[in-house]
Amino acid sequence: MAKKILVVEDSAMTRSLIVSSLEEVGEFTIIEAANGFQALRKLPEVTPDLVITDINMPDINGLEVVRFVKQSENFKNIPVIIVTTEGRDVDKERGLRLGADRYLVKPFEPAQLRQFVKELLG
Amino acid sequence: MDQSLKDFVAEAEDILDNLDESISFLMDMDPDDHRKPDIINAIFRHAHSLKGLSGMFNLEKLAALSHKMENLLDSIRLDKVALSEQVVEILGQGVQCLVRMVRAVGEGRGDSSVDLGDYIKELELLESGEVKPQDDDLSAFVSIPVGITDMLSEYEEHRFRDNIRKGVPFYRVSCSFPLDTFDVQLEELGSIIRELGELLTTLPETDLGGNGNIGFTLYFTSRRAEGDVMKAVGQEGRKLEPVPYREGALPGGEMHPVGAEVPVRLEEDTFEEDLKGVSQTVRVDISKLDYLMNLVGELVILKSAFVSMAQRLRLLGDGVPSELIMDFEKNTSSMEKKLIDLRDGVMDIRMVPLGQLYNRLQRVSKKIARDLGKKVNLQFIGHETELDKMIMEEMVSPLLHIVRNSLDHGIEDSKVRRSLGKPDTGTIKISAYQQGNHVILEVEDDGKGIDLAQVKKEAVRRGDVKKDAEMSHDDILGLLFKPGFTTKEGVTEISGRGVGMDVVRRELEKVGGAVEIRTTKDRGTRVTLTLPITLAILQALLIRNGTRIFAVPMGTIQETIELSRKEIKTMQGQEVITLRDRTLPLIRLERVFDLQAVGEEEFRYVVIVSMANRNMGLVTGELIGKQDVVIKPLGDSFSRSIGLAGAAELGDQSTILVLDVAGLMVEAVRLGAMGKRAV
Repeated sequence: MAKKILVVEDSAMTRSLIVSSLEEVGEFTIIEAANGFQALRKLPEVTPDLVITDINMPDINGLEVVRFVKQSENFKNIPVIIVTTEGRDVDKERGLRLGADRYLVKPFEPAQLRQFVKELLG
Repeated sequence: MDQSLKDFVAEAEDILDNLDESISFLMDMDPDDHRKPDIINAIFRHAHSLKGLSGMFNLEKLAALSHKMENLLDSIRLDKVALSEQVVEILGQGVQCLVRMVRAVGEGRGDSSVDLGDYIKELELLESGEVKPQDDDLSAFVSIPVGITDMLSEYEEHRFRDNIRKGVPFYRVSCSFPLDTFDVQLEELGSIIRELGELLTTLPETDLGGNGNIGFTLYFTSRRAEGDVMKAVGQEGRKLEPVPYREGALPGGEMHPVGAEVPVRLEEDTFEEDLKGVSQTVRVDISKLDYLMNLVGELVILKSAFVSMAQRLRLLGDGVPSELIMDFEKNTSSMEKKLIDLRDGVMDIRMVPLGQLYNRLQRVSKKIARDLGKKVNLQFIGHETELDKMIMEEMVSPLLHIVRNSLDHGIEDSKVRRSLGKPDTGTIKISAYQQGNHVILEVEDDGKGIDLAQVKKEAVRRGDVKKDAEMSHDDILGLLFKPGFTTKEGVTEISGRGVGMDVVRRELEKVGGAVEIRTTKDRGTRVTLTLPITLAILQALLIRNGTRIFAVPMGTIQETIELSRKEIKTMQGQEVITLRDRTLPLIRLERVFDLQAVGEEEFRYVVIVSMANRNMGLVTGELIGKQDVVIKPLGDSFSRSIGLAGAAELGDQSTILVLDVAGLMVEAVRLGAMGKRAV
């Protein structure tokens, strides 16, 4: 089975950028969520193998998504990559403290994202 | 102008409209209005989006200006810069500069043609020093659990601190909603709260609450009387409680107002210009068009009622004056014509040229080719071919899958190509044209083709087929659509076309389309996608089996023939007939959909349908006639039924099932192959 990656990002442009960077790596099934709400709905629906999330989103921020994943009995083993514009140390610290596995600051290098994905799904 | 730039201008205009509206709103707002932080945050987000958008299109000057504005707005929303009238003014000027630049892009002059004078410097002047970070956890001030601070973004945390500093009463509300509707319900709750005060954060609860529910905790502040808040928010199913301040906790936070006088400059005569829009397009939410389409559909149904009324009037004979009947018929028929115009007009609005998709596809494909080190000439044909916007969006990822497969596994290295007498540079041709009610999209490469022997070998290894199974060319190609048909070892040896082809087929079926592969060794591969032009209205042949009526999309029907029972043969548990030397599988709809059986003597006709060069016959009792039907999604009970495109309502309010022929073929093959039920 192809590994499933849930991409949570409210900007359609950035989302398609993330998706196309991933599509070049190989056979993933990519599930897109345009906001935190959709992410919450899709998590139990698809139980992804990896979650990639933005932090700054209008309804539920990415940190809450990270906590939701990492503290749920069903999802806590799913690795999470945070991809965000916020280069702020405090956000990074919080993300990692909540259990995020990797942290990427926009504008990011697709190669770096692919590297993370390979490490976490390898 | 390049289509992608047109897309840019349309999207940028949208953002600028929102920006402009929010800033005007802010200018008119009372300084103590509790909605102010939300508005500033919205303006910040618009500037942020515009920065991202311009960056994607390499419009550097535009990106730089929106970036500067974003920085200033970030400082404002974190209260590092006070929002004076002068700052609002500066922001307003910034929007005008942005409008001028976007218009310049729209006119082909480029964003750098706009002179900003010292505006950027002025913006920079406004940004002030940092506020020292506050380390104390929020739980030191109000009675919230330790650790909440960790889940807040910097902005949310700032809003907590700002409210604490002002001593606004805090509340917490816990609730639980079903997974499929929670966003709507949260939105409702949010708007109630925003009426009363400020919504600070919405935290999802980790345990799903069982029964497909999800729990949330919301924190908000309000200056309204506690009783009012309780009454408005505290309803059944919601647990609302005030969050008291810790004793003696009222921390201070310093603001850094900007005192410097900043000169305002912008030539007066540009104002009128700035008020003009850039293009003649209106962007419309597709759901509004769906609504219109539904209305048209309901009118179509009403029209059928009029037609049948006219017939009944005629049957009354003597009792009704004949010129009245004629008038009635004439008007009904004019109404019918206008209705068709209306339907076509609404459908036309939904149509977008495929060129839009080509532009995106070309950018990504070129990049993939570069990364793979392949020399490829990408040809796009049929930019003007139009397709329903919704369907086009659904086609982005399947097309990308197919093109990537061609690039990765189809097109050979230059050296290999030379040894085969092919040109060094490979060609991938993507063409689109209309065929009746369908749009045909083809991706054709001149690569090495699919190695069928390898595909079969792989299928045997997976246990999909037996080693000595007799398989035709088409049978083997069909294997590529098996879910997950690919293996880590196999990918490079086989041309790898199995990768994701099952996904491609699923996406096509979702919109009632079909996919077909043709391949010749060393000559290349062609993948053909057959798509309906639109989803909403369908010309269909209504057929009746027993008491049940089905609609068969007209575009798929080849012919109808009378059923001759003695010609039916059974091959491997599958009923077939022979039609002009071709063997045709027969489909029994009752068995596919597990419906109550109909007496065999009732079946009198076979409707021959075809999709992607495959044919099959639907056995039916009666051919009722041709009719336009408006497809509506099926309810929950049917949502998993493969082979159904949806339901439709007839003039007499009865509901019928609309068949999805491509899905039906797949289902028929599956049932046949499993040998469970003869189809």
